[in-house]
Amino acid sequence: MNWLIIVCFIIWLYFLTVFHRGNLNYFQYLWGSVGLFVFMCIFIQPTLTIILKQYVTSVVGIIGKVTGICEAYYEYSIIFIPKQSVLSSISLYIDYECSGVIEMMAFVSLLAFFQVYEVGQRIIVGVIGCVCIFFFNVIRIVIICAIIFQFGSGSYYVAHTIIGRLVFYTLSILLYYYVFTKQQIVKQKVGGFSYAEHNENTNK
Amino acid sequence: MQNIMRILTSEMVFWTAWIIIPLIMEIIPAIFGFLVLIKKRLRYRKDIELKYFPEISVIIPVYNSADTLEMCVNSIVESKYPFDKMDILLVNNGSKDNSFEIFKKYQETHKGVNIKWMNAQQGKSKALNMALFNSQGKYIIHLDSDGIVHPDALLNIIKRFESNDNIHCMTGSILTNPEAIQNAKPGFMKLVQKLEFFEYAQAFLAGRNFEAEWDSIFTMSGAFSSFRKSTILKTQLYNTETVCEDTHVTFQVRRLLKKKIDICEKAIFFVEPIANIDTLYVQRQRWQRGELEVAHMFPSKGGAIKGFFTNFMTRLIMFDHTFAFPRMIWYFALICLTFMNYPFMFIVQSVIIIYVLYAFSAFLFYLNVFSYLSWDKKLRRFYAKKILLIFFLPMFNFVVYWFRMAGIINSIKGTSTWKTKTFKEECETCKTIIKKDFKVVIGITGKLRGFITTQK
Repeated sequence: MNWLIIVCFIIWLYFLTVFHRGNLNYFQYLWGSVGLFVFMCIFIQPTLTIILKQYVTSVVGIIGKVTGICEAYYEYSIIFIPKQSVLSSISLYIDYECSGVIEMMAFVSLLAFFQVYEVGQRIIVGVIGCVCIFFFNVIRIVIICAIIFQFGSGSYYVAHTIIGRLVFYTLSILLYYYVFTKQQIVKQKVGGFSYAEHNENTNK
Repeated sequence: MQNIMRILTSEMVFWTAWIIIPLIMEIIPAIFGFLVLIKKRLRYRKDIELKYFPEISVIIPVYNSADTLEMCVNSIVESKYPFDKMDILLVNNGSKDNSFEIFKKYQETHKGVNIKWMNAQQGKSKALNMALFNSQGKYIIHLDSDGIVHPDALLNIIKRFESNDNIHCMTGSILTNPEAIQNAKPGFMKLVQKLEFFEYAQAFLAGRNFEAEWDSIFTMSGAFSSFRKSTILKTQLYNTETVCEDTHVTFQVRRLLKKKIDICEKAIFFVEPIANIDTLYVQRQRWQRGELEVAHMFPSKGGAIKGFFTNFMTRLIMFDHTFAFPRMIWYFALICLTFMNYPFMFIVQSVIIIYVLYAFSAFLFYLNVFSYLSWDKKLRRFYAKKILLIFFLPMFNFVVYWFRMAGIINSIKGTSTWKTKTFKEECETCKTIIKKDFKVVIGITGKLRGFITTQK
């Protein structure tokens, strides 16, 4: 299986050079980002998930200790919500979905080939972005814990599936807006530009 | 029963997890838009009948338009607006074909029509600016030379102006020509053309109609827009740098002059349907770049959160640009997740649910468009028959999404010598490079073989 992945990786690299040499920016971006994401899923994700799970649990544990809403067992990536006003206690297991690893890899993949930034800038923005996503994830889990603490284990699904997801998504979109959109608009070139000949000249 | 409910609830949790974001960001706003448009339709106030016909100037930029020019001018002259109350300005901006001959012939055969020819520098904006200074009408109407106006269009647009003093600029509604679609060869392109028609109808008669309610029309169509002369001459005129001079002038009127921009849904201009996918690919990239250029030239004040709730431009840019990035990677992440033991069936079910919801929102807008076409029974019938396209529209939008994404990425590296390629050209470039590499590899292999043979 490993040799197959290596062959795919070489093919990926080769086509990346083809698109780069052909000045095919869109193909390069698409191929580069998606490929990088897939290879990160294969090579980095398993290790990164273990580390992130423990860090996320630890930071949530610190906040939980201060606020009294939960206790963390970072060795097992488990968050325990002990004292509830409504129902019995509940344990949350932080798995790869909750660790934020996929979101971080997605962000890095999209940024890695985003040529609005120079290479050095991409590294700095990438690190800052990952730290932000890490804390967005912590905020999400703390909110989920707080809701369960307050309203009991019955509120788990609403807290996890809807509220937690929306909070995380909103914060991520803010990050994407400042990293991708705002920067491109600020640096957008106007003028001195032509489009390939085609049959229409109308604007919608 | 309880058991069934429990299973359904547990499955709902998985579905909700995947559909919650598209539901909140796209489907709920679509339902809201549908209700707003129904309210607007019910409150509809008929425009006054004209007691006199004010003079209008119709400006048509001409660039290699020999094939379509006569058809375009004919549609104007034969429309219900009296032709003795209009002057038609054909502004040539670097044509290399026999457009001028067409004009000359037309002038000779239509003595009563007030039609003039002007030569401007190359570029549509320069041509429009020159014509603006030479126009005499109370109202200015810009039309593209590659389409035809609906017989009622000019009359309806002037009626709307005369009925509403607070409207200073209006965009017409653009549709692709139904006859051309009907006459097209059956096959894939015909389906694409029908979808394009459907998309235009929804974009103008539903989309822009909704935007007009909040005075947030992003762009007056360059193919058919109209102004009070007193208003357009107070702007900085058409910008000659950007690829979207029509959007730029829209923002000038709104931001600098603080005037309202509206749509006249009863003023339709028919353009030719798209000829091939390559044209669509380049066209959508150009629109996307135009949006970014205008966002650059008219920056929104305030942060993202405040902007999202108070500024339509920030909202639009977020939908078209910001959301496009996570969306792109998540399409592929969905596939990766299945290899990470995520329940594949739930992903498939969620995708189907999202697709059905998109089709449902397309159906809502279909109803809106249907109600707004009540004044032209023939056109409404043509549109009504296309109801099944609501199931194809999400797929069409999905393809267009990738084209617009190309527009985003290709806008980054635009230099003075840079030019977008069509999809076909891009594939050709790839092929050429790969062939060249292949030749190098064959060469090296041959040399190695020769070397080994010599050694032996």
